[in-house]
Amino acid sequence: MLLAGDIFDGDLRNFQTGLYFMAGMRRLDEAGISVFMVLGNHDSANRFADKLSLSGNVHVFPKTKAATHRLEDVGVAIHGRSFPRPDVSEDLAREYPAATQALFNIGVLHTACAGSEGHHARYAPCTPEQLTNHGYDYWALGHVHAHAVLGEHPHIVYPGNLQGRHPRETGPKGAVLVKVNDGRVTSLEHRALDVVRWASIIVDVSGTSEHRELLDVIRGHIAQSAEQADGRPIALRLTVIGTTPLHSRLILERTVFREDVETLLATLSDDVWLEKLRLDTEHPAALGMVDPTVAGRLDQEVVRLSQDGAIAQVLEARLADIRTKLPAGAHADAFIEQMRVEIPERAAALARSLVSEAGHAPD
Amino acid sequence: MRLTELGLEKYGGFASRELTIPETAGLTVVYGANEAGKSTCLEAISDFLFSIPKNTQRGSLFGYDGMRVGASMLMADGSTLTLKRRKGNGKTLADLSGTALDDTALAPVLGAITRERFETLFGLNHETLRNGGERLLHADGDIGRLIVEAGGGLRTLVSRLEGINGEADKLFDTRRSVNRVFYQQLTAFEAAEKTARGAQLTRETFEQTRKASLAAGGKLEALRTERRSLGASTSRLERVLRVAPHLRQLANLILDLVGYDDVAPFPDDFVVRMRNALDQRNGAEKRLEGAIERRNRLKARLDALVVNPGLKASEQRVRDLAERAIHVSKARSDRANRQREIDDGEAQLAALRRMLGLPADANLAQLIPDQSALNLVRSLADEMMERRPSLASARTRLGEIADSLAEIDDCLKAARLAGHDALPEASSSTFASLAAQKSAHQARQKSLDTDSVTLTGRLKALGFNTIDALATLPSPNVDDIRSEQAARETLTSQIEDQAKLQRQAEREISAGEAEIGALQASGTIASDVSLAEARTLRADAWRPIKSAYVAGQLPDDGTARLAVADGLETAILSADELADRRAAEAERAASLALTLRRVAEARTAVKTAEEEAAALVAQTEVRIAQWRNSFPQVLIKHPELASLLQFGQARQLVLDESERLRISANALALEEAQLAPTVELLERIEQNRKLDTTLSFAARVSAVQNAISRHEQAHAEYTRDTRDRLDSERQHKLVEAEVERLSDAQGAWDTAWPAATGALGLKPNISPVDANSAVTEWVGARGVLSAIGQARQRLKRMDEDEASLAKDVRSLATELAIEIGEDCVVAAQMLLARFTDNATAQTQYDGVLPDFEEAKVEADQAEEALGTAREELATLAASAKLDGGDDGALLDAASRCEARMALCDEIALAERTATDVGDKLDLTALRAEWDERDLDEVRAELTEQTSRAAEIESEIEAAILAEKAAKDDLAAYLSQSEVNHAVAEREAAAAQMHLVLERYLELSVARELVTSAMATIRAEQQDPLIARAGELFTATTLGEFAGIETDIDDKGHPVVVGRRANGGIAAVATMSDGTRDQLFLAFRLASLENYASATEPLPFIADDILVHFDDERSQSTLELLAEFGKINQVLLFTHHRSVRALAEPLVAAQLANIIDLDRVA
Repeated sequence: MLLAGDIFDGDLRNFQTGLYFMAGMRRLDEAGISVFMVLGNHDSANRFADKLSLSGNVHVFPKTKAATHRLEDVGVAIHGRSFPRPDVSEDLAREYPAATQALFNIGVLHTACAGSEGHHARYAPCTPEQLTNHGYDYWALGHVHAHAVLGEHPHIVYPGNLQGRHPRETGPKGAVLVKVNDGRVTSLEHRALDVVRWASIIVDVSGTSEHRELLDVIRGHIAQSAEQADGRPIALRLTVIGTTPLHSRLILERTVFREDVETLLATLSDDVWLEKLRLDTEHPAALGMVDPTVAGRLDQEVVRLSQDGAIAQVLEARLADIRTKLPAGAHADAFIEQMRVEIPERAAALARSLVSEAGHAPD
Repeated sequence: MRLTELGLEKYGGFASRELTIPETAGLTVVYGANEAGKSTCLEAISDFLFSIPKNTQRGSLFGYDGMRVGASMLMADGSTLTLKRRKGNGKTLADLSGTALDDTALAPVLGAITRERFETLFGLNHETLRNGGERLLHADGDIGRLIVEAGGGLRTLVSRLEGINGEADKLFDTRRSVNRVFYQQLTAFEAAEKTARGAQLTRETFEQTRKASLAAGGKLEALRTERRSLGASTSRLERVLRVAPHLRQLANLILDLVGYDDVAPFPDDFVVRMRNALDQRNGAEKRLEGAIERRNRLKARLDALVVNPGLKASEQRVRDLAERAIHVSKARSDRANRQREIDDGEAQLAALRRMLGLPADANLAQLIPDQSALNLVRSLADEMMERRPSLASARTRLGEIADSLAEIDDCLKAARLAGHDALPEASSSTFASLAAQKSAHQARQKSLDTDSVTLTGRLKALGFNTIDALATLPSPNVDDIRSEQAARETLTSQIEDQAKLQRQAEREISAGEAEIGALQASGTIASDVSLAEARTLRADAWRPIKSAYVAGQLPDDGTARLAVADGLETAILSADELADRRAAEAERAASLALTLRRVAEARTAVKTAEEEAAALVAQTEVRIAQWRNSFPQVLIKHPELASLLQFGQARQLVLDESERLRISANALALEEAQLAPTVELLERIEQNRKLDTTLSFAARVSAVQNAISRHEQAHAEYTRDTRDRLDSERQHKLVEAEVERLSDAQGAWDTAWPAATGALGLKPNISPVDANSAVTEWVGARGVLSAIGQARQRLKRMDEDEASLAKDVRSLATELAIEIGEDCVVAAQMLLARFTDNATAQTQYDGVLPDFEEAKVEADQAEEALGTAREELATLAASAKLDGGDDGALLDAASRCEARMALCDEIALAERTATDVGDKLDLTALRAEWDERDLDEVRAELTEQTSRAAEIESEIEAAILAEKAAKDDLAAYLSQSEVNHAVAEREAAAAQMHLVLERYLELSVARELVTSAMATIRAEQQDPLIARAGELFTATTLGEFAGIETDIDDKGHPVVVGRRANGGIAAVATMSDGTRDQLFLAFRLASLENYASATEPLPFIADDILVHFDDERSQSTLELLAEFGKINQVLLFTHHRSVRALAEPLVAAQLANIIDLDRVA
């Protein structure tokens, strides 16, 4: 088993996590399975990461320089190096030992490989070409959370993480099982090991004019995507877009709509939890004509104000109030930033719905 | 725009309805009673403008397919737009020519307005008006609200804003409150955070617990070691205690051994040998004694046995005598039986003797008859007994048969007399159905007669006396008439068609001519000819100029040149002008040509039509004439085809009926003929039997049937009786023969009987029964006699045997000189006994003799052995230096030796035991361990150690528990989930706080936007709106109020107030309901005027809004609407005749129109 770093997320103060990991390693020991691991950027920040008393089957690669473990019985040499400190900016792969003749060489490396790093920090950068030319038969990479196979001659593989942690990490998550026969990789399959699947669905409700119809469209989309989760519970971020005359009513009765969607989720046989519901619908565009009625004028004025700096100031004042009350441990900074971006448009949509005749019951 | 026409097809309750709205005035009052379709029209207007909703209720009667709403609209710029809307998807509008259009066709009309806005702003009913007025009151005339609600129609905006305020406040504020959701979640967050932190496991804690666990383990180990060593020591002490007594004992034994030193040198086997020798000697002595005793005993016995040889030799004879004696004794006992047999036999024969009349002792043996005689008697007796009853019964039978014969004869005679010996005239089935058939026939005959009468009547009605007359009348049949009718109709319609064509063509002609006139009215058209002329003129004008120019020779005369040039110019101009006109009028010219052609065509068509029509008329006449000629007679009566047809049909029917009747009559006659013979037969039978012929036919038939069946029955009986008689006669004969036979036999028997019985010595008149028993006796007697003879014979032999036996026994006894008794049997038995005894004695002697010899030998041997044993003993004693003769000393030595040996054994045993008990350690070690210590001391030490061991046990238990607890703690760390739970709760609380704050921000910022916008719009619209609304208000309140102004109320809000005509100010709250409603309406109308001035106006649709107003107010409001209608169309729908009445003066003044809904088709 190869662990390419980021076992722990930062300096956890709870030793239980360490105990849990040690217990797992012991189980592998009892089954006669060896573990070869490097420490990554997150592990480096963890004080006790290298002070754990791990069972004898676990081999942690050193921080000072790259080392090699040979397994003569299966004809394998494993090379690796742990991050000496959290922010490594030099190319570690360059210093890795040369391939050992007549053995199946595996390189274990925690890196932001060029082209795949996405939004991850650019630590220990390298390129796929460099890795290919190094002469190993397999590169087990870590750091990037999405499963990716960068090359097949030799195999350069990011297995991705074992469990999606937020709505941007959707799809099956797990580990990679590689079978090697006679010094050649005969199969490489990704095994889904996650217990919860994140899903981010965008549903276009253009063309619907009845509330029932709209809900049915949404249900159809969700049911479809639930099927792909193989029975796992789903954490769903739902975004509703499209042009529909129901727009104002949806905005005005946002909470009711959310409840409707949650009720709808309850009718599905799969376990779906609504993480977030975004409304990005639009009213069918008027024909570009000016509406001289009072309501039309109000609507125009609301739109103008929402693009004006005055309203942004109002928002800032409110955010300042909130900052004093929201504890930092509740992810205050990220939240306030998000609100700064999202609220102007949402408040404008709500204001425009308020000044419409949507939901006018007979008096 | 203004609506000028509204058309509904298959919409709501209307298959088709059209509303035409006159353009003479802006206000149109649409009056209709309930159910006239007011709400349908209202909805139709919206559906037309904005599309018919998917789930409209208006399709419940006619369905959706043919639903159409059409309208014609007059736009502000004077153009008209006519469209039709259908229900469906896609392009649901269509123009006049049917081309489908999408909703952009209505864009010029609607602008940016939506359905909701249109219905809210441009629609008002009495409820919304009333509620609007109410809200003015609640708002105290607040201007902002007035503008938004009255002016803008946004009646929920303010309440929504208030709702938002409430919701936002519940969510978050800078002031902490337990009722605000954010703070509730914050509390949960803080609590969870605390728990998580508290439950965290630090490395230090873990290490501590681990060390504690190790320490506990160490302590446990130490205690265990102590326990082990203590155990070893304890076991040693115990061993000592066990072994010491044994060691002591051993010492004692060794001491005792010393006392046997005197016998120590004796060899080991001395004792054994000594004892052995003594035993041997004693044994030998005893043996000798026994042998001698036996020998003597046996001798004595031998001597006691004595045998008689003579007796032995007479064995055979003795046995023989004994056997005979048995026989004789048996015979003796048998004798009595034999005698009894003889006596019984004699007794049996007594009966027979009696029968034969002989004395008791008569010898019957001689009289035994032979078997055949006995058989004869028996068979005769049997025969008699058999025959007697047979004969009696046969005789009786004969009598019976004779009686029955007589009876039958009587019956037969009677039957013959009645004539039943012959069959009846017919079988009963012949007439079975006759009655029914006859009556059916009669019924049919009756109906036939009736029909004939009817037919005759009809015939006369048609005007004919006989059928023949009708049949022979020349007349067309029904089909012919019909086809004639059809042909004529065709001709007629064809003529019609031609006429139509002609008319059409004439119309064409007149239209064309009119067109031509019109075309030509606007001046002569520039024809090709005129154009050509003009061009020629031009060319002519040019020609001289050209030639002059080319030749380079210009005329000198300037005036002439000018004239020529002018002429050319003129010609060119006129040609151009003509050409232009021609081009411009090209269309007209073409039209003219076309029209002319059309006229010409039409003229031709007229002619053609006329000719055709004439031809057809001629054809018709020919046809009629032909017809008339064919059937002159009939046509006189029925000149019209229709009546002729009727006549023809009736005639046909009558003829058909006549035919039918004829056929029926024939059938009936046939039937009658068929029935005739049967009826004849019936009458004959009646005659024969003299039955009553006056009854009804059916009764007669049934009477006859009954008679016949009775006859048939009687006849059958007769036949049966005849047969029976024959049988009886036959039987009679048989029985008679039988009786005769039996009688003859009886006679024979009477002769034979006496002879047979006499042969047996019986009386001749003896009854057969008795004779039978006598025979039986005789048969038995034979046996009895022979048995008696035998018995006597036996007795004799017995006597002989006994005598012989006695003689032989006496002779033998004398020979052997044995004394015997009188009785020979007893003597013989005694002899046998004696012999047996003798034989026994001999046997015994033979047995004892060899034993005796043996005993002698043994005695000798025993003596020898004794001698040897004595010798040995002496030797042994000498070796031990003891007196061989002193048995006692010898024994003593032996026993001492023995004792010593036992002691040695004991010592060995004690050593082994000590070793065993001492855990197999050797004696030296054991002794060393004990070391002669005092056992009590040892015991004390042992007790001490034992109590210490118990202490250690409990200490060890405690140490185990402590170690386990420490290990459990370590394991627990791994499985604790408290932290995870707390972390999850914390994150959940954080997420909730985010949601709450998000919503709070959305609400508060949106509110800001709306209130800002409202302020801006208010500022913008306020003055002009108030001014104009004030004018409208004044008009509608008939001068009670002079206008509307703004003011600030007590709370500082800007409000509207009314300025009374007398100058006073009236707050909105002080106005009456009706006045407030009018204020509301004034603002609405002012707002709509604004709209109309900015873009294409839309009709204001009022649904019975005058309901709450009194007559005066209604009047003034109507006038207001009429005034407003000049700028913007108003459609006022109403149920109330009073409103209609109020509108009439306005109509007269051309300020309003009235449409009555139920009068419109």
